[in-house]
Amino acid sequence: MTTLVTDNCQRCRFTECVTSCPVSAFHAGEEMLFINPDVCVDCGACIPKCPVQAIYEDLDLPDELNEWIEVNERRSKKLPKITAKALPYKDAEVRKKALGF
Amino acid sequence: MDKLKAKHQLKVAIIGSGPSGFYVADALINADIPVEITLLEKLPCPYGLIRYGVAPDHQKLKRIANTLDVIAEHPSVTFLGNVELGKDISLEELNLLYQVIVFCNGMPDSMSLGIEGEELTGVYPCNDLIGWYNGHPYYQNQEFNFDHDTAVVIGHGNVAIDIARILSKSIDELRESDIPEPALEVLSNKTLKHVHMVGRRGPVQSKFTTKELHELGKLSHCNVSLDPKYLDLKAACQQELDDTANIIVQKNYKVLQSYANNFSEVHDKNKTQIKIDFMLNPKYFSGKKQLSSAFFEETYLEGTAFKQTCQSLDSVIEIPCGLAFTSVGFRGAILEDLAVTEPKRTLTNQHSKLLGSDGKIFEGLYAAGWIKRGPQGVIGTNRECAQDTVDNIVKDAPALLQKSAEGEAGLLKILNIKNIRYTTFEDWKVIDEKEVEKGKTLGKPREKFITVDAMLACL
Repeated sequence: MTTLVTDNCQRCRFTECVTSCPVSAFHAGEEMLFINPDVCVDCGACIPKCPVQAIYEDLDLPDELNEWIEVNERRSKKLPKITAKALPYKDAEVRKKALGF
Repeated sequence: MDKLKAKHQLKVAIIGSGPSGFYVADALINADIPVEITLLEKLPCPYGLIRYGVAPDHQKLKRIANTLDVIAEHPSVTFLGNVELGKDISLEELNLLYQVIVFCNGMPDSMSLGIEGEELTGVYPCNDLIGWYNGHPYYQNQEFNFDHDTAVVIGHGNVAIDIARILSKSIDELRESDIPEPALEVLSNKTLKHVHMVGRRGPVQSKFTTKELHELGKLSHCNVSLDPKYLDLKAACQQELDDTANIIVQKNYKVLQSYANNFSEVHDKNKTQIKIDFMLNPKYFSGKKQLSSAFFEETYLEGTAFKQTCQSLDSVIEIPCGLAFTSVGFRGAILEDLAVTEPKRTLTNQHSKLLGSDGKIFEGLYAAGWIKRGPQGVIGTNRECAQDTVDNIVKDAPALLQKSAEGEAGLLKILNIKNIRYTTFEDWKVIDEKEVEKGKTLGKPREKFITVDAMLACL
């Protein structure tokens, strides 16, 4: 596995991470982003960018988030690439607060 | 191409084909203005620090080159290698040919510690070692001897980790990397049993990336440890650690805790011992011609969280060692006609626009990457930096287009008149293919050509 996006991104999708990716590995869904594991080089540049700490690398992925490995793999390949910042999900700030950030 | 289109095409020369140069080209292509981009590189080959800075055993990270290839193959981009600014072509000549010149030439020099004994054999700036084991043509004359018991790496960032890791891996592990054969031969005499990574400040202030720090602990022939006393934080450091924006430091802290647990273990004598030492400020090196010891003052931090400064205590400690590598930052080279900001020698700029040595804005000149903001961040940081530079160029484009410029056609004319053997991206692909081919026979990702002549001779 590579670096991946997990559930905190859902209904946040701040997209702060995408411009730091040296290989354009991010893909955008309606509610959240996904990382294409075939493209990601595991540099970790995106991790500190996320305002809700949704991005993990293999070495610290909590067990309960393991399902996201397969979700990133599957969803990233069906969705368009995103390389420039976009508007966050509509209630992103509310969700961010609810997540404790 | 029709004349009207050519007239509205912004002619841009980019100096340096490292990640920043490529990302400036990419951002220009995506800016939706007509551009003609010449990517100039002093070596015959592209990629800068991807090829020569990223550690030779980090092949996955070097795959960023695949992304850069796509940019190089874009019809608006021309790569011209083996062309050095200030030698093969002057800034004055280039300025006549292009409307925009973007400096992405990075920081080729290592910062010096400025302490006694740095000239001893055995003390080297990190660039000398990194350039050498990565096969950079400018660093091949250095003679290293790794037949010592102890090496000290000064600095607490990823560069220091890379060096500690390369010094600690077995020769068989190193053979799987793309370290060139001549360097591998020298490294095969390595007898190091101890590698110290020494930093001036504490664990909360270190600049490691978690992945790199974590990787050290996974090496099969190493034991990584640190004295648990350093993890006993005072209030200001604890406050820095607890800040939610400090996620990387929090992750690093956990890894460091696991290394602190190794501190009192009985060490396996067959393994290299990597020790991470904090709160030590380099004072001087001693030895007769050859380094025999490094001396450090113990330090403490003073002030409020995020504004702490490092102060020295009177106590001095000695680490006997035969090798010391200083990794305390990089700095740029002086460029004639341009203002630089000391001590790191970044190009002085306002919104990425460069100032001349007279302190006034030098129209049409911009910078991106390390030479603009200093040697900080990871590779991806340069993509954001390049975008910021290009946003400023696009704003200025209507005014810049007023100047007539011949662009690439004019440059090629001059290079041909001067009889300069430039390389194209097609040439690079030939070099690349030959390196990979030779690497296959040796069971490694590639065997690099380590001189400019060898690169040119294979074409």
